[in-house]
Amino acid sequence: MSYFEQIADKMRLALFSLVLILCSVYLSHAYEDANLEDDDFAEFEQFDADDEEVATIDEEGEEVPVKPKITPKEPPPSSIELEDELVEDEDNEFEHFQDPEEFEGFQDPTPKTSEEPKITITKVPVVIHPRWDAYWLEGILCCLLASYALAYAVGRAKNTSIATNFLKLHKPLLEDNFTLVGDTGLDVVADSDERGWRREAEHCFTMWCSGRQCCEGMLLTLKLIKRQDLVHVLLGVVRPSPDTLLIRVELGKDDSDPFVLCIAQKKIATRLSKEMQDLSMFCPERRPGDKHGLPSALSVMSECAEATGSLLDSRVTAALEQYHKHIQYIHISDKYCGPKQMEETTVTKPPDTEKVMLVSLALGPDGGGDEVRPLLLLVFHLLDKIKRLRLSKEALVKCEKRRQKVTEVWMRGAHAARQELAAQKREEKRKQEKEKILAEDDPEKQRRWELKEQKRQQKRKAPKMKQLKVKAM
Amino acid sequence: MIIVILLMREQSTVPIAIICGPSLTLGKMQLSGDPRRADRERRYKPPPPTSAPAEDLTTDYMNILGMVFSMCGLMMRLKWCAWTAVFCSSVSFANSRVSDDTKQIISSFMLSISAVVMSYLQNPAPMSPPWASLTAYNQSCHQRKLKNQKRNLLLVGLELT
Repeated sequence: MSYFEQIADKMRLALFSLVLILCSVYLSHAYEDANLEDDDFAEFEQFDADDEEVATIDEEGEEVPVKPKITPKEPPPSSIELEDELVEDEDNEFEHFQDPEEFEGFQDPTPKTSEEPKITITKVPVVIHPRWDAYWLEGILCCLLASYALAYAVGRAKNTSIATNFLKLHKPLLEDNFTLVGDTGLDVVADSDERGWRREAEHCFTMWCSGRQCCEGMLLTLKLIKRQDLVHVLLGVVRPSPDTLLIRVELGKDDSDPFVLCIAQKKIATRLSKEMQDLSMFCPERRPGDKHGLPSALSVMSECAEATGSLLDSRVTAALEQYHKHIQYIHISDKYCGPKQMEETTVTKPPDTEKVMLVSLALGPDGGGDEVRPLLLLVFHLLDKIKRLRLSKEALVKCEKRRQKVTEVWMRGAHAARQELAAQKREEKRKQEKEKILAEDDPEKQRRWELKEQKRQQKRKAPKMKQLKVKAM
Repeated sequence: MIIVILLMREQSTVPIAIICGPSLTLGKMQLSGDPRRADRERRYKPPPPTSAPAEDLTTDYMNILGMVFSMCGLMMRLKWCAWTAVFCSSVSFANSRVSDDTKQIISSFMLSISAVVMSYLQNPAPMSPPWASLTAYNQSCHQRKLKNQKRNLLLVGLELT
C-alpha cells in the first residue's frame, strides 16, 4: 500500500509542476500581449501630432491639455475613453501597419523616448447654428397655409357682402309679397331689421318667407361659390360654376291640381329625370323646348299637356326666352319626394310627398344684379297661375289614375318586401329552435323534431294540387 | 341729378316690360291687390332630409382624410403626412356648416398640428422634397456606374500587362 501511496504523491507533484508550467506560459503570453497594446499607443502619439497641426488651423484655436498625462504603461481602460474622444480618420486607421517604425518595439518591448508624450485634444466645434435656409419646403407650406387663411377671410367677407347686397336689393319686393320675411324658426322675437339671412355655412344662406296667398311659405337658399375655400376657387378656374339661388315654395293642399311639370336646361333635365323619383315615375318623356315655344336650350318634362299649355302662356314664355340662361330648372310637383333612395329600407313604406315648386336660378357674376328681380316676379306669377289653374275633368281623372297606379305599385312592392321580411324572421326563428333542440341532450326530442322538419320540407316541395270532388255516378 | 335718376328708373323697367309683354307692366304681372295673407303665416321648419338637396360631404371626407394622415404622421413619422393632415383639416373647417359639430373639427385640427409638432420633435431635420430621393438615387447610380467602369478598365489593364 505504501508503494501505491508513494506513486500517488509523485503523481500529485508532477501534476502540480505541470499546472505551474502552464500558468507561467499563460502569464508570459499575457505579458507579451500587454506589450503589444503598449506599442499601439504609438498610433495615438501620431494622432496627437496631427491634432496639434489641426489646432493651429481651428478658428477658436483653443487647446485643452489633458490633465493626467498618459504614460505608455497605463492600463487599457483610459485608452478606450480616449478612443471615444478622438476622431478616427479612416485614411490613417491602418497606416501603422505600413509604417516600419510602428513595429520597431515589437522585438524590444520597452521603447522609451526621452520626452514624455503630451496628448492634447482639440475642442470639436459643435455646429448649433440653425440653418433656416434648409427649411425652405416648410416655409413654402407655411406660406400656403397663411394664404389659405387669408383667402378664407377674404372669401367669407365677399360671400357675406353678396348676401347682404341681395337682401338690400330684394327685401322690399319680398316684404310686398310676404308678411313674414327672414324667420329663423327660433322663439326669440327679433326686430324686423335683424331678420334676414340665416347662415348655414360660409357659402350658404337661407331665408324663410311666409304669409302669402297661393302658398304656405317660400325658402330662399343662396348657394354661393365657396369663395372661402382656396382649393375650390382654384377648381372653379378650371370648371367654373355660378352662384345659385334655390327657391322652394311649399304649396298648400288646395293651391294646385295634381300634376308634375319640369322645365330645365338640357343637361340638368337628363340628370333630374334620372335622379328625381316623381319625374321618373310621372314624366317619362323629355321633350325639347321648341315644341312649347321655349328656347331650344330648355327641355320640358310634363305629365299633363293641358297643365303645361295653360302654365306656359305668352308672358311666361317671353320671360323664359329672355332669361333662359339664368334658369336652371323649374320643377312643379304635387308628389315631390326628393331624389331616389339608394337603400331599399323605405320600400315597406310609401315615401312622404309634398306639394312644392322648386326653382333654381343661376346668378350673374358677384351674386347677380338686376336680373333677379324679374325672375322673382316670374316665380310669384307662376304661383298665382298654379293657384288659378284648373284641369279639365278628363285630365284630372287621368292624373288621378296614374297616381293610383303608382300607389298600387308601391303597395305591391311593400307587400313583397313585407313578405320577404316575414320569411326571414321565420327562418331565423327556425334556426334558433334547431339550435335549442341540438343543445338539449334528449335524443328522442331531437329525432321527433327532425321528423317534423322532414315532413315540412316534403310538404313544401310537393306541387300544390287542388282537390276536386267527383260526384259519384 | 333728378333727370339721371328718372332715366335709371326708366331703364330698370325695360326688362320687366319685356317679361310682361309689350303692353304689360309690373303691376299687371301680379294679381290685383295685396297678395299678403297674415293668416297663412307659418314658422320656419327645416325641410325634410329626404327632399333636401344633396348634402355637401366635403367636410366629412376631409375630416376622415385629416385623421388618417395625422395618424400616419404620428405613427410612421412621415412629415409630409402631418402637413397634408393640417391642410385637410383646414379645408374641412372652411367647408363646415354652422350646424356641424365644432368639437370634431377642433379635434381634427389639434390632431394634425400635434402630428406636425411631434414629427419635428422626434426628428428636427428639414423635410426633403419628393424629387430629392430620386435625384440622390440617380447620382448614386451614376457613381456606381463610374466605379464599375474604372474597375473594368483596371482589370483590362492588368490583363494586358
